[in-house]
Order: sequence, then structure tokens, then C-alpha cells
Amino acid sequence: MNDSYTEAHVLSQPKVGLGLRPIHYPHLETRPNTSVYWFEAISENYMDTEGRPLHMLQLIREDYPVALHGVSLSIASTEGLRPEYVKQLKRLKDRIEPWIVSDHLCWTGLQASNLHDLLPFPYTDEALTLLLKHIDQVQNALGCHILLENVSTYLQPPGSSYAEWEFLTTLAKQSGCKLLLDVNNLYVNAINHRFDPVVFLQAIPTELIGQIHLAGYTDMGTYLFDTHSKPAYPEVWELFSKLIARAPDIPVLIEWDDDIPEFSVLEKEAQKATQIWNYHHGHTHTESVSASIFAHSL
Amino acid sequence: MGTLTLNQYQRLFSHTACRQDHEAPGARLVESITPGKDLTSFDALEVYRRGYLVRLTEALGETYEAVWWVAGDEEFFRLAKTFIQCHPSQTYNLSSYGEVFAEFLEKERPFPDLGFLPDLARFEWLFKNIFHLSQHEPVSQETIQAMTQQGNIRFQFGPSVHLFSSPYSVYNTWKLRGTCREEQPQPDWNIAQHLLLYKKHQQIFVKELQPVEYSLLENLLTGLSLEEALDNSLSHYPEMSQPEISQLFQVMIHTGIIQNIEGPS
Repeated sequence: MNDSYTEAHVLSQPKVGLGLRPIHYPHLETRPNTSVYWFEAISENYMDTEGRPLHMLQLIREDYPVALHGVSLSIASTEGLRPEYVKQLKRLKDRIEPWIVSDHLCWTGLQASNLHDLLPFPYTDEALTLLLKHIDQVQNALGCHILLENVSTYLQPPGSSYAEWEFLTTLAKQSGCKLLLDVNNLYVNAINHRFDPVVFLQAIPTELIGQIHLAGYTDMGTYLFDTHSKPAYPEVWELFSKLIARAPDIPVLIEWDDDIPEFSVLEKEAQKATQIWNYHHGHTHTESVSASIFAHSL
Repeated sequence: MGTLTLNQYQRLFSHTACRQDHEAPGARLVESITPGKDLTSFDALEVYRRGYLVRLTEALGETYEAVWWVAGDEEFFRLAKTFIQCHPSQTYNLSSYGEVFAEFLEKERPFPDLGFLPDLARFEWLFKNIFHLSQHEPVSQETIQAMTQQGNIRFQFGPSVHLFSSPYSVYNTWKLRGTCREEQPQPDWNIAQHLLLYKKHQQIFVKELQPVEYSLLENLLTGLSLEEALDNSLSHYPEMSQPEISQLFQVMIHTGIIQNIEGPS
């Protein structure tokens, strides 16, 4: 199986990327020098278009590695995969030659009434069997390994026989897919479902993690909501620091989807991640990193 | 829940998230889920139901920006909610949601005095689709001039080239979207518009045509030869003049809408 992720993998330097968002097209069209190592594009924004979005993605691809990150694969759906979706994704993958293809570990609704959301499902053997079948189908159709992301949830469905981290680990080991570990989602779930995020983090073998996401949540009072509308919180940076200390080669992405700021603000967020990487693995330690980034000590 | 299969759970969850205001969430689901943090079971399910409405409303608002502008926030959100409840999304791509919104407006007639709204929605859907179409390489002016000497030719137009006609001034109204509605004088909706839409430099352009120009171009776009198109249009517009025809050809050349020309067989 051709694995572009492995081929593009360069060791021992921070690989911090940003989400490609239309609001930044005018800036990126000028092909500015950036401190960004790679970009992540939302697959669905480029799968069904021959227009400007695709043109922009191809332009970006000329200068950067690109990951395709989907939101509609619905890999945990009992109705099965949508053949036309997989076909369009394969077409885009062949055009862009991404270094990573990923989606979410969830279902998004029924085909007759798609909720367009990242929905929770119980962590059961039934779900595991279904997912192993679907992951195999997708990886065979695409001709590459995929990454699946842990999602934020606001309820726990009944019947789970695995903790989330046990399910993720078992799934990745048995399917051959890797995990896209969203540290923000991990933290949101830890607070919403009252578990220790460090237990989760330490339970996942780093060799199963193919990418890291960092983002910001919104505290709704009665729960944490995964909004991607703010910078990552200190608690999330702290978890990230623990993770990147163990796994220096994993690509990291700053995600921001709502109230998106100027590109330079995102670059500064990416620089924070680079600083933390340098703190653990760089030749020169940045002594002030903990004070400037974390509210708490490392 | 115990005996619920994954499929049963997903159906129950989906039904609960799509339910209407007067319907109660599935009791079996409410009783069996564990809500996050300090949420109640009902509120945890509401997070997903609200999110569903918000996402689909946003998708409609993005495509039908001018309909939103005309309707105003309150009415647009009400219309969107009704539409979403009647037309669940069957597409995997959220930006493709709302194809039948124009037909819905036609049927519902939410504003009897704004009869142009369905046409405005059709225009916006077309505009969105053109945005995603590829841009062709236009044939050169020299090629066009050389080929036109050969007589009965056929034109092939770029995939983004479309015509749109309405008894209402949809384009003039559409251009007002994004402005402060209260500051705009009431537009005269009842002016017919015949429009050519096309892409150039990855941008969409809209050009207003005279009815006779529209007729001729419409015939050419269906694949008729130049002679056939002229005959057809002349039967509807016997007063069509040579300068009008020349004017249309100037438009066709300058807009770059011609992708290829076939000579007489």
C-alpha cells in the first residue's frame, strides 16, 4: 500500500501546520513566506469543485505538504460508506497527493437525514467489527492508510464496553489506521465525561498517532463545547507538551474554524507549538516557554 | 439500553436530533444516555439538535444570501427552520444542501407581495454551481474571425457559461445583498432581466442582455448552428437587426465564453 505519509516524513524538526481556510485565500494567493510547515484542507471543500477552491489548493500544494481532512466519511455508520463520497475523495487524493488523509471516528447521521455532525457511538465490539470493515474498505479504495480523529462528545451512548482510549488503541492496532489525536477534544471529553486526560494520553502508544490537532473550546457553563473559535487553552498546551515530549516526529496542526483571525495570529499559535517542541527537542531550550505559554508549570 | 443494536441506536439518535419542537425526544434514548458534565440528558441531546438546525441554516444562508437579505433575519430563520424540517439533508456535502429551496418558496409563498423570491433563489443556486465549475480556455479572437468566414458554424461554450432569465429584476436585487436594507430605496422588482453568467480569471461575471441577444445566444447554447439559431431567433424577433447581431458577437468575443468552434461539416 502506498503510504505517502511515511514517504514525506522528515525526522526531528517541528512540523506545525495550519488549516487552509477560504478567508486566507487572498493572503496566500500572493505566496507569502510563512513559518508554516504544512496545510490541512477540509476534503469536502475541494471534492466537488473545479473552481477557485481547487485552484487555491493546487497552488498551496505546489509549495507545501497538504493533508486532506474530511468531516463526512461517517465511518461508524451502520448504513455503510457512501460509494460516491469515497470515489470523489479518491479523485481528490490522486490530484493533490496529500501526505495525510484523515477523517473522524464517528458517524454523521443517516443517509436520508444527514445531521452533518460528528456523532458519538458506543464503544462496543459490534462497533469495532463494523469499523474494521469500513476502514479496510476505505484504505483499499484510496490506496493509502487513513487517520481517524477522536471527537468531542456531549453525552455517552449506552452500552460501551471500552473506555475511549482503549477503543482507539484497539481499533488502530487491529485496522492498521493511525490516530489523529485532537488534544482539545481529549480535554473537552475529559471534563465532560469526568476522566483524567493524562490517563487517556498515556494509554495511547505514540506509534499509533499520526497527527495532532490543537484548537480552542468554549465553556458553556454546563459543558465544554468544541467550537474551534479560540486559541488553545493552557490546559490543552500542557497536554500537548506531555505528548510531544514523547513523540517529536508527529505533525501538529492548529485548527481554527469559527471567528477565524488573521493569518498572522494563526502563525503565532503555530509558533507556540514550535516553541514547545523546541523546549523538549530543540538544540537551544527556550527557558521562558512555560511562563509565556502555560498558565501552569510544565 | 442493553438490547439496542448500533443501527437501532443510530436511528433513534437521528430521529431525536431531527425532531420538531412539539415532539418529545425518544424516551428510551433519554433514559439510557449519560449526559456530559452538568447537562441533563434532554439538554445533552438538545446540543446535537440545535447544532443540526444551526449548521443547515448556515448552509442555506451562505447559498441564499440575497433571499436572506430580502426576507430579513427573523423571517429567513423561520423559513429555514420550516424548510429543514420538511427537507432533511441527503447530501454528504453541506454546501450542496438546499437545492429545492426555490421550489419550497414557490409553494409556500411566504411573502405574497414578493413573487420574485423563488427566481432570486434559483439565481443564487445557479451562481453557487457556477462558482464550482471549471474555467475553460477561450478561443482566440483571430480563430473566431477566421472561422466565421466559413459560413454555418457551431459554437461550443465553456462549462461555466449559463443564461438566466426572469420577469423580475433578480440581478439588481442580488447586487444589494450585504448592504444595509433600511438604507436602500425599495427596488422595482418588476423589471425583466436576461442574464449571461460566465467565468473569467476564476471570477464569475454577470452581463445583462437584450431579449433578442438572449434568444440568439440561447439557441447557440443548445447546439444549433449559427444559421439555425438566427432562423429560430428571427421567427420570434423578426425585427432583429444586423447591428444587434454584431453587438452580440462582440459580447461573445470579449467575454471569452467560446471554448471551441466547429466548421461546417
